Amino acid sequence: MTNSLMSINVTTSGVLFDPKKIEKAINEALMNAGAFLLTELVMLANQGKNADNQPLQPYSLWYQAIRQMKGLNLTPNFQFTSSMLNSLTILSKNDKSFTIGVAGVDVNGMSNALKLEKTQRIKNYYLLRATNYLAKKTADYFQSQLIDILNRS
Amino acid sequence: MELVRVDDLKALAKTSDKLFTNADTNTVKLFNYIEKLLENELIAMQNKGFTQKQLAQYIGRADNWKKIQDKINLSTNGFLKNLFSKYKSQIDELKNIYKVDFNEADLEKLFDEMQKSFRVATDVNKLLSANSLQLELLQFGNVSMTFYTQIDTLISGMKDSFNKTFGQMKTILRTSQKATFNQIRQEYYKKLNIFDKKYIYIGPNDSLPRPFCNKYLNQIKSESEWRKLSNGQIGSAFDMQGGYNCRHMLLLVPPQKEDKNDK
Repeated sequence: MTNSLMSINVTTSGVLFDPKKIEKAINEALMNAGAFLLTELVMLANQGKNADNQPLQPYSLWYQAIRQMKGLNLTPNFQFTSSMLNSLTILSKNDKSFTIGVAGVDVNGMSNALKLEKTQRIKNYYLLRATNYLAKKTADYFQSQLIDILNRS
Repeated sequence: MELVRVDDLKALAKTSDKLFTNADTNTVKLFNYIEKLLENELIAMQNKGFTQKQLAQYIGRADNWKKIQDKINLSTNGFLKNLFSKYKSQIDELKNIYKVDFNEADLEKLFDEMQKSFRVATDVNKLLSANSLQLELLQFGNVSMTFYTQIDTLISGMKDSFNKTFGQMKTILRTSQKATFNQIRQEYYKKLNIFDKKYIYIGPNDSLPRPFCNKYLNQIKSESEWRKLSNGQIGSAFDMQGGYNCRHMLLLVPPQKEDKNDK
């Protein structure tokens, strides 16, 4: 996300850009990119895809049977009670970056971060990972937002 | 008693790291092993002609589930013994490092603390007899039992104060926590300089959602439109989505380049 500025050609012929305005625009575009990525991640999860936009490996047979018994979707979607995915939010943001993650615990006291970490590591169902797919999509979005914001300022 | 030496501390840290890493690796092995056993059990049933739906119905019956658990428990006991033998050598290693610095009682106390971290392994049989939700959670980590106990105690205390059942209190806790994260996201969205923000109703599409969620799933509306929609339980769709235990989220639809609604 931080390198996307490199691909923006700002023409300086006769136009003086106010550095403060540019800084403000970057900040605004970055905020929007955070919201964009958040929605993108939840959409991927609900489509049964990982951070590479690839379908997740099917659940094991026994777990499929348990999910069917509970009336849940058999396509992997990072959700049982949905406590973990529902806690996905932008945890912090500064001038140059934002951090998206899960937080809190579910009603059984299980840490959502721990659940996600184990799901990613044990099951290889990865969602919060800086893949090329997500980096490119977010960087493209950031870039288009930055141009839009600069154009209207 | 001699003072603790830096080298000893480093050695302790290194050995502890190894111990916990191995514990974690072995926990993964254990759950993979249990999963494989369950899988084999279900494959055998499938070979006998059970359909996926029949399998679900089969394990949904408590007596059948118990039969499967008993089989798994028998196989797991040997596996557990094997796992613990690996811990033993590392604990002995720790004892050797610290033998000059702690007396026997201190050592026992230290090891008691460490043993608590391995609670999951010792409680596996106990957890296997819990319901399938707990079994699912069991896959994820080694903190289950401690936290189950703490949260259950908390909820037990609360249910008396609020005159609610245990299940109702869990629902309230789950729903309030979801509302909190929803609020955190909304606070972030408020800071965005976007005019006429649109939100999408997103979440699982299975047989569980209530009619309200089914109706609005994947629909896009403005804040005011979502606020006008009552879920018939607790507040508006904007604040609480479908109400108690709802698994859906309301997320901002990021403005696209072609949108002309931006400020």
